[in-house]
Amino acid sequence: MQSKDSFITFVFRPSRLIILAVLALAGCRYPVNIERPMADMQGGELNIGLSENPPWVINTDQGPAGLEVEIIQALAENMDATINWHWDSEGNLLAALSHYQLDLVIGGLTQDSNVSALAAPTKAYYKSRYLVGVPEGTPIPSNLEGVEVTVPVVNHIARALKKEGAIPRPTPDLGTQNEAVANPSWWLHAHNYQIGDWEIATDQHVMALPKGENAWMLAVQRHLNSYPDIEQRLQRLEAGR
Amino acid sequence: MKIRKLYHLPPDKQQDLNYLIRLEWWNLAFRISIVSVLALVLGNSQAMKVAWLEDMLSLIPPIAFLLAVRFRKRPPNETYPYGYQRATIIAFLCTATALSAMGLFLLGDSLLKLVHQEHPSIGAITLFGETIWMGWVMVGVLIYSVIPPVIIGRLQTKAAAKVHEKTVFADGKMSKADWMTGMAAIVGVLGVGAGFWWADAAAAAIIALDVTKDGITNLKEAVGDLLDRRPHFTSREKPEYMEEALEAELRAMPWVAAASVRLREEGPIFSGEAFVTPHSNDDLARHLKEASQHLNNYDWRIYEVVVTAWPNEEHIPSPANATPP
Repeated sequence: MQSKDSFITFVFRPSRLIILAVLALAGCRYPVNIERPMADMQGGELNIGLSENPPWVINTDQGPAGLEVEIIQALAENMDATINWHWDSEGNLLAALSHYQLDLVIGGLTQDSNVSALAAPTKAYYKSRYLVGVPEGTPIPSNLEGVEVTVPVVNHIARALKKEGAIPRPTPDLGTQNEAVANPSWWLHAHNYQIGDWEIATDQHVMALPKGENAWMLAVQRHLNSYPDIEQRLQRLEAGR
Repeated sequence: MKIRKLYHLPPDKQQDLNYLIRLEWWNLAFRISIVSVLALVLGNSQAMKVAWLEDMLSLIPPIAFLLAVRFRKRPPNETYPYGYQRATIIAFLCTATALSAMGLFLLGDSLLKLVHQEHPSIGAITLFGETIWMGWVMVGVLIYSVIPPVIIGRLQTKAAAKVHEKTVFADGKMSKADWMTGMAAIVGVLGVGAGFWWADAAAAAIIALDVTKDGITNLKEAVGDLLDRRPHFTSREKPEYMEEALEAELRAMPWVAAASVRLREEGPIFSGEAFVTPHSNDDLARHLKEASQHLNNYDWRIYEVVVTAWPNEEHIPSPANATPP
């Protein structure tokens, strides 16, 4: 009993001091970043890593474009900050992020363990729903059993489609044949497909921040949550390609 | 085969025990609620993780106790002629082992995070359309997790000492450690928010150290019980000196020339053997039985002391008997 009491005072006395110190230090700016102060970013330079992944990030002759580029440009404008864009592969960018060389990485990243191993992902700001659509004028099948569905050559939904009984057929030029397609809802809308109500898969879209930059995370998350009309913007970007 | 009689607590102690059982049900219910709420806001904080795992673990002692109490009500039978009283010790050992193992694991995990200089990310959460820092929610939940253990822990240790239930007594100490854990986790989360990356892992390490310490103390106690160490009362470090008292009782009987007693704990109650040297062999069997009955009724904690006759004077008086406590 004796030792327990002394242990409590040992832990608790300093902890009370720490709480006071924390509150005094923090004031109203809470939480703060661990590595790069927010004051440095506000009106300063943002180092944004990006890897091409249309329509999220598109590399054009006029510079970067795409949904996530627009989102970050709006954020930088709100913060009076200028952006330094850094093109590279997703792996290199995430590694650089973990060394605190970048402030943010975009490139149509989705929630997975690769991202969270090296970086702090935001909460999903948008969910891409993979649906099955048929060309206008074609009747929507009552179920997917035995239906041939075209999918992009590189995809991660073939297995989920098979589970529904459909026969996935990888096709290079999607949307040019008169056949059913499995793709995100914004793609199907942009290409004027009629959409059935089978949800094959979802991608949770996130951006990657350095670990421990909690004030920055809060700022980015607030910006993402208030960013309007993501679905429509994606449709417009896809239709414009 | 000689099968023991079922142990019955005296009515007032039975009432105390019933109260203790009710208390443990409440305790279990509160802990389950705390564990579920904490799970929702865990996030990336090491201190939160440690506090949560400790709370998860703290479900074991009440469950073990409630099971043991149920189990030991079974009367002794041909397969288990000594009865089921020691189920309590098994429960106690389980609790202590789980506590020590988890404490060590978490300590290692937290120190590793300190070595790797991991910067904990505590993100944002959107509640009712408002995006706020997750840390505030964590602190709120932690404050909830701190209140019940403070109150229940106090009641537990008091009630457990009355009926000598070590599992609950140890559990009560754990409750006390619980609120400290909660406070440390709050400090950790707030520290991270203030920009100290190490605050979280350091708080977690301190908590883990405390969990380990609790675990090892209880492990020692449980192993001691299993090795039939002489009885120690719940809340005390020193032995109970019940043997000396029983020896004095025996020696006060006119037919006894010398007596020595040894006792062990069987959960909340004591059993053992008494060796007496009679002045003569007249009526010896009856004397022995009466002596045994007398001893069994001497204190509520005594379950069964078997009295046997010992031919010579080989008694070694208990050291404390020379100078009674």
